[in-house]
Amino acid sequence: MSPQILTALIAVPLTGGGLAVILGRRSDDAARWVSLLAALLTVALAATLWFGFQETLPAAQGPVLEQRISWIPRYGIEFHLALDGLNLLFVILTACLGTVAVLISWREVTRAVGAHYLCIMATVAGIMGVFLAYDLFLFYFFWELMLVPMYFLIGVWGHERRIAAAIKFMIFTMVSGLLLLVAILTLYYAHGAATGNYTMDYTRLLGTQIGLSTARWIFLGFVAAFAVKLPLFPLHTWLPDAHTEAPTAGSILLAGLLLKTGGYGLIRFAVPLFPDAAASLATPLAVLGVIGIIYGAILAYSQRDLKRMVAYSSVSHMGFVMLAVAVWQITALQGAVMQMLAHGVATGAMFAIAGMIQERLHTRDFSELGGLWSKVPKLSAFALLFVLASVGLPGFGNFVGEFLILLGSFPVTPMLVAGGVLGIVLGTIAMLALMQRTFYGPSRNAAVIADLSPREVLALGILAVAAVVLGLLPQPFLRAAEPSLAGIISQSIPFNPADPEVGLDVLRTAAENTADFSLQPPSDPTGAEIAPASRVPVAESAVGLTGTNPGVTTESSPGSAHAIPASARAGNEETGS
Amino acid sequence: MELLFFYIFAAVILGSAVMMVTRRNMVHAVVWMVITFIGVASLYILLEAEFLAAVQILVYTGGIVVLFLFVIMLVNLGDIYQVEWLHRQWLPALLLALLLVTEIGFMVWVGAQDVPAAPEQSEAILRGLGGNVETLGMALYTDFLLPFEVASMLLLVAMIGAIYLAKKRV
Amino acid sequence: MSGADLWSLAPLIVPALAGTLVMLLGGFNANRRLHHGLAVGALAAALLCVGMAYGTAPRTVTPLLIIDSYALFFLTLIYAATGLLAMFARPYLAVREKDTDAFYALLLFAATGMGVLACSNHFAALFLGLEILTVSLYTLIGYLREDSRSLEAAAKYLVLAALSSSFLLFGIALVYAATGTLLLNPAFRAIADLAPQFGQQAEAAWALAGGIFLFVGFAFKLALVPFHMWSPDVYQGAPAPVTALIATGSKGAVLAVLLRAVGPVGLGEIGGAAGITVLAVLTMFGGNLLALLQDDLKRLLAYSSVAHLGYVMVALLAGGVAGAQAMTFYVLAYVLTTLGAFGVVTILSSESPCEADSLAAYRGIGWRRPWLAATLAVMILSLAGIPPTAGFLAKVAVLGAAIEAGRLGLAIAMALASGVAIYFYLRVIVVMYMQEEEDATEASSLPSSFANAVALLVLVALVIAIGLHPTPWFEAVRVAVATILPA
Repeated sequence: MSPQILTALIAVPLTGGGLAVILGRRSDDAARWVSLLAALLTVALAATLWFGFQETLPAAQGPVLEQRISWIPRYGIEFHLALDGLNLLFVILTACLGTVAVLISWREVTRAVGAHYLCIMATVAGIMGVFLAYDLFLFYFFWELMLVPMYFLIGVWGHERRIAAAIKFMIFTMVSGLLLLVAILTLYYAHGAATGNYTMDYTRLLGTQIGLSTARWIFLGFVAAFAVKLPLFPLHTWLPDAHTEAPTAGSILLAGLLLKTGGYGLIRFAVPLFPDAAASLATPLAVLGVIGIIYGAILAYSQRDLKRMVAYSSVSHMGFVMLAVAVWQITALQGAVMQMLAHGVATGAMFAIAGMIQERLHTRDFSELGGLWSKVPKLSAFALLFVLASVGLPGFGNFVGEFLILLGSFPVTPMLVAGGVLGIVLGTIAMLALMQRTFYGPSRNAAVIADLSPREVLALGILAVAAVVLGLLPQPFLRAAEPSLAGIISQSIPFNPADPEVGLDVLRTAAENTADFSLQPPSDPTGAEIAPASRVPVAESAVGLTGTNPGVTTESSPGSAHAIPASARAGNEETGS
Repeated sequence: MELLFFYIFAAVILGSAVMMVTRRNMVHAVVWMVITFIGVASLYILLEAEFLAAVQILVYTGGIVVLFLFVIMLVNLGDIYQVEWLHRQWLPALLLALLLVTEIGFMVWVGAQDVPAAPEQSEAILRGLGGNVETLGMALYTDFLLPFEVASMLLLVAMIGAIYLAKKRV
Repeated sequence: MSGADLWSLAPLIVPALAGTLVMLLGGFNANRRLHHGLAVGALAAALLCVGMAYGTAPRTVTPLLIIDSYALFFLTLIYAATGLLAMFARPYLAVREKDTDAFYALLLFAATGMGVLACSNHFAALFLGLEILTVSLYTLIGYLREDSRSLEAAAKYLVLAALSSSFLLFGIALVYAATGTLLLNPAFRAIADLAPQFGQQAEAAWALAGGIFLFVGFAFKLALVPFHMWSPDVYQGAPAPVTALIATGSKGAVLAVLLRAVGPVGLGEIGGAAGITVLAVLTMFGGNLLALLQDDLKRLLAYSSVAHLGYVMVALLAGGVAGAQAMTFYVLAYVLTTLGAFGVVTILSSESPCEADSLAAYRGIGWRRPWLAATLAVMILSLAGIPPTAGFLAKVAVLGAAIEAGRLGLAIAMALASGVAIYFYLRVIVVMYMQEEEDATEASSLPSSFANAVALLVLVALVIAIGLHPTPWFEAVRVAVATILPA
């Protein structure tokens, strides 16, 4: 398959957005159709990738498709896009939610339609770039680039307090982004000074040897940016405002995609680049994640605004991703990926429903809602479906995600898992309260409103099918992500297991000691078929890069632990000592 | 002998400068300024820079002071006499002035130890080059021809500006 | 001086002669178009001469001036900037002032002054160039004689610029006394050699005092905190094209000579690094924090350029070839961006005699004047350092230079200061796009003058092109810096 398809994934939405502005000067409908066309084309491209790589994905730990063009040679920066199982899933999610966002704002937006679609499509393009970039500078470039159209989306087409929300969003993300930039540059120069090879290439920067205290600061720079996006507990305050004030399409993109860039960044960049630092900071991060789960659920319950409630439930759900990243163990990471996909679908749909209610009743306040079931049964049925998906009812993707995360984390940190379960219960109460306050009970609004139009049924239908498929048939997705995650894990073993500071870390050591136990659930027949040979080059390259001792080479196999559990255990005992 | 004259001239300069800034009558102030300038010119003579001394008297006491007097007489100065003698900033000004004095004093103290005191040498060089004025003229029209021209442009610019700002709107 | 020397000096001679010509013509002919055309044409011709001078570079003309590719790089930037703002100035002056001959003449002289600064290799040339620029600016700032704000700004600038010039002169005198040379590089090298002997040798004390006075003089011209007080008032009061000149060309020229003097020696060697670090941090935060309070776009941009000069100081402090390259690249990006921003202000101000400087004047122009507003938005994003603009890459270059030099604290301070800045830059965008309902009835979307529309378009294209494909620009900067700081 031609690698240009990766560039096309970014270029198609961008071109569509540009055309939408130009055609939008003539007619609003032209802007809508051209954006829809571009979005569908993006979906088609993503689908081509998905079906085209069905065979190769489970066997490949590294990228299956790569494109690299020299961009700024002075700093060793390349336009380097690469596709592996992990980001392929996010690419598909991005393409689908982009289409939904276009459909959902079809009638909602009447002002400056062309510019609105440009902002949607530019955000989608930026997010695509974030997911595909394999060059740290390019990643940062897209990371900042996606914020600008999102800022306009919130600020221009948002609700009442949109300006404050837009500025808050931008300041949180930009300031943390600048810290990320400083961290990237520090890593770049540290690597360059050590090896003489000044490069921003992700694969080459992996395995840079940095002193633990320095690495910890750089790691915190990365975490600052990703935790704001995720959002991690004390850094989440921008999120309810931004989600609430954004127009429906903006909320969908924010909740469905932008938050995922944070989780993706943690898994792809932050931990693998600084395994030692990540290991030494895993405990506080996991605790913050669990605090987020519980805190988000409690605050969600106490909200009076429909969108705010969904927004806080996002804080709660994304806390699970942080927990999984802190545990850094393949089952939990598989769960994190599932959780992000499923949350993107379900929460995106919840925001779409909130937008439809707002469009019809011009309110999101629970005191003016209630009893909608009798008025708009189709809308209410969809809402029930997505509420159940959100609370993690078996049969939906959220259940798979949360279950895997808890399963993977339990052997490592049972206390925190208990906290997470408590959070799920509280979250369920909150979401059921949402259902109760909005759709059941007496009607507090006399307005006669229309039920879903075919276009809205289509948009919600796509998401409903996605939610159910993720729940009932998670295997293809898990299988696609597994080798990439295994590869990432094998590259992120602490380089210096003898270092007491790392070795003593409770979370970390426990995770490795229990690796083979917790690996059982996701391993499936195909997993066994993965030839160990396919992994050897990666392990070797990791050794070649880092110059680790042979003890670590065997230790780097917990990623493929079920193939050779004995040697893995031997390696882990070494670590523990 | 030289030192004695230096102290006399220095006292004249400082005394007349103080008189100048404390006078309420502008014309008196300008006359004190003339005395300051003459004192400075005398210092130049002491330093054997006769040309500079002559220029100082010609340009400052001759040209600039006359201009000042013109301006003072042309402009109605009724309001100036109402101005407070001491502004509210006198305290910070005093502190900063003290700071400056300390600093300069320190510099002089540090520097006094080995100031090159060899006028004979520079005198000899000058004589070899054919005297004060000639040397200056040679430098000005050979090495420094370019900045000389550029400086004339500076004056041109100032003139254009002054004329534009002063002329009536047509 | 030979004929070849004169050819090398052509980039400086052309604007000076053209300035004189415009002044003389003004006496006979009140045709404003003619003056304007002459000024723009002369600057274009000067740019052509710059191109030709590349053939003979590097060439030292008398001990005072050196025409090397570093100087020519800055000459290109300065003349291009001056030429563009001369273009913006025509419609602006048309609604305000009938006499424009002096304006264009002074603009050309100011360009000459900046050119002398960029080429100067000697304190005498530095001082003369600076004075020609400053004296031209006195009048240019006060050019709108009927406007009290303009005159007030001119008076303020006169007093403070004269003060800073005297600091500079005193510094030059002290440095000369201590080192016995007026050539820039030898003088600074001598300061660096003398600095460690402070307390033992009289010359060391003089040299250090001279260095401090010199730097204070520069700091006034560059408006570094705490020497920035003049800048918001002057930016606000001066006619918009002149504000653009102060913000772009004059800063660029002063930075050019500063880097030429200090760069090869390194600030750390001279012994001022600690003090200047404090100054740079104060400047970055001071400029950005004060900008938060502004409701006037020109004042806001004034404080923002204070902060940007702080970032430039970070690059200067980083030192070395990387620091010098980052600094030069930053100046390039900053000049283009600021010029674009003030270009929009100028064009909006030329539709009526009242200055479009309060933020309220920009309410909703995003929908009424989409092209102008989009231009301003791109420039604001570039000032804020958001991709894909030149400002973003410039910021990356400076941060990178600081980190490479091991000054991580300074880099983090710069990152946080630019974080503060996001707020007020966004406010401008909020005002333009988010505060008023769309009003599609006024459809005059393009600027009134075709030439100005093209000029703005070129600036936008440059800012984005540098942001997307910086390699040729990095290369130009590398070549320029290599002549003063061989790698």
